[in-house]
Amino acid sequence: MEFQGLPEGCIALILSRTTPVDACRLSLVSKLFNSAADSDAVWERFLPSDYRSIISECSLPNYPSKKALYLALADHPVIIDEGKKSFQLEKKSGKKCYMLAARALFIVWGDTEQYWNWTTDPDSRSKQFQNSGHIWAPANPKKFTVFPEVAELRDVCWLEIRGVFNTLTLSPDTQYAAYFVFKMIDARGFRNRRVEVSVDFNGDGTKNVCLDGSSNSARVAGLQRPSLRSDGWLEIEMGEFFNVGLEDEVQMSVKEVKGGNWKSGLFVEGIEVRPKWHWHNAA
Amino acid sequence: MKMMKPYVWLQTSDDSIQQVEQEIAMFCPLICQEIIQKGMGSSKNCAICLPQQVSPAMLSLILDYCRFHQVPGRSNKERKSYDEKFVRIDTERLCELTSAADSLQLKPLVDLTSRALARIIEGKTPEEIRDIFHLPDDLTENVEVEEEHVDDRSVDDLLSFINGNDGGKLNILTILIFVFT
Repeated sequence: MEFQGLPEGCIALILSRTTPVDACRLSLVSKLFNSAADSDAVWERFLPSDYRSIISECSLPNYPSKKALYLALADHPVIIDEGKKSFQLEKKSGKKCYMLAARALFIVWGDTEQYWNWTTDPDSRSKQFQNSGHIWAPANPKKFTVFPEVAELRDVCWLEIRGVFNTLTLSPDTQYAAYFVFKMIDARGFRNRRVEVSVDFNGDGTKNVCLDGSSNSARVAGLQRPSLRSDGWLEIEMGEFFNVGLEDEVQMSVKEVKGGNWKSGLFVEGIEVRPKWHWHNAA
Repeated sequence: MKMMKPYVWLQTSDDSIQQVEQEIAMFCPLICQEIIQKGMGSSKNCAICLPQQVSPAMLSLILDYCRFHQVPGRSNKERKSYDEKFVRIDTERLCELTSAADSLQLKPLVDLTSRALARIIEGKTPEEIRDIFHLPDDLTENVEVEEEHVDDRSVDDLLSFINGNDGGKLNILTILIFVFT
């Protein structure tokens, strides 16, 4: 008796206990594996158990299979919570990623036009936005903004942005990190400046970073710099936390209030929370 | 009305018949149905004919499993540690056991053995899996990319990326690995 003696349902059960990457790779073993590896039974298990309620307000196309839905959700974020958040799957593990839109963040002076302005993505003003519920393929997939609105810093001395996220909605037993997602266009006041970022979850985690990658002063030597995302925005890691899966809140902030100088030209898309070590998490 | 009989007669794939404690055997939904709905198994002459996946060796393993879990009052830790040891058998027997348990609709055991087999196949290449399980490569003749409906956009992008290979499995593999890289 060999493996081929196993019914397809059993092979599907076995594959569903592996990872999406394994299931795809092992679909090439044999015809039976191929058929089992594409089955809804397998991909339903790779999707988060509560995916239905998460995407319930999105009007998604009718995907022919759970695998197609999985890949769609992994490739592009969907907007949920009335445009306040986006949701996406981490492709290799199927774990949940969210981004809190700038509109869902608390921004000091955020509703004072003189200091902060609400605008569309400065780099793609001509693009058509869909403001809720669709997975869409942007014309240039390399550059896109998820949310219809981003915050543009006109001028402040006191820069303070805070976000709160309920960790119960995240995948359990997973190491997560929070990332501040932004752009700098004709920015002033960030070069060679320290900015304080923090992720508080069962204890304080504050560190200094430098948001302007061109900084070269000794004052910011060794500090973390932003990196370019595949969507054309910049991101900087604010800190990490391990989500056990119990109800709790993680508090995140970006702050520069010590320099007292005027700052401008910062565009904020939001704060993204996504798994940090995919492969350690995958089990 | 007669008391529940303590024993039930089961016939395995090699046509041998054995007598087992009914309480234990009833753990398997398939056997339970035969007894309750069809009144089978009460004597050697009307033994319950088990599916052909269930060899005497597998039946004995399955009954061991049922016997352990049937005892009330065991802690979760005890059960977990028993399960862990229970699936420490060679891959071939694990497959046989999965198939047998599945045919008896014994879901907890199917889950257990599937998880164990998943640990074995994780991270391996299709070739390695074919070697381990002695499987024929029956996909080779199908050298059409349409076989695999991965995300179409990615496939298109990647086809141009690896353009030079002419369709076929190698390409699909490359695509899959690329899509997830």
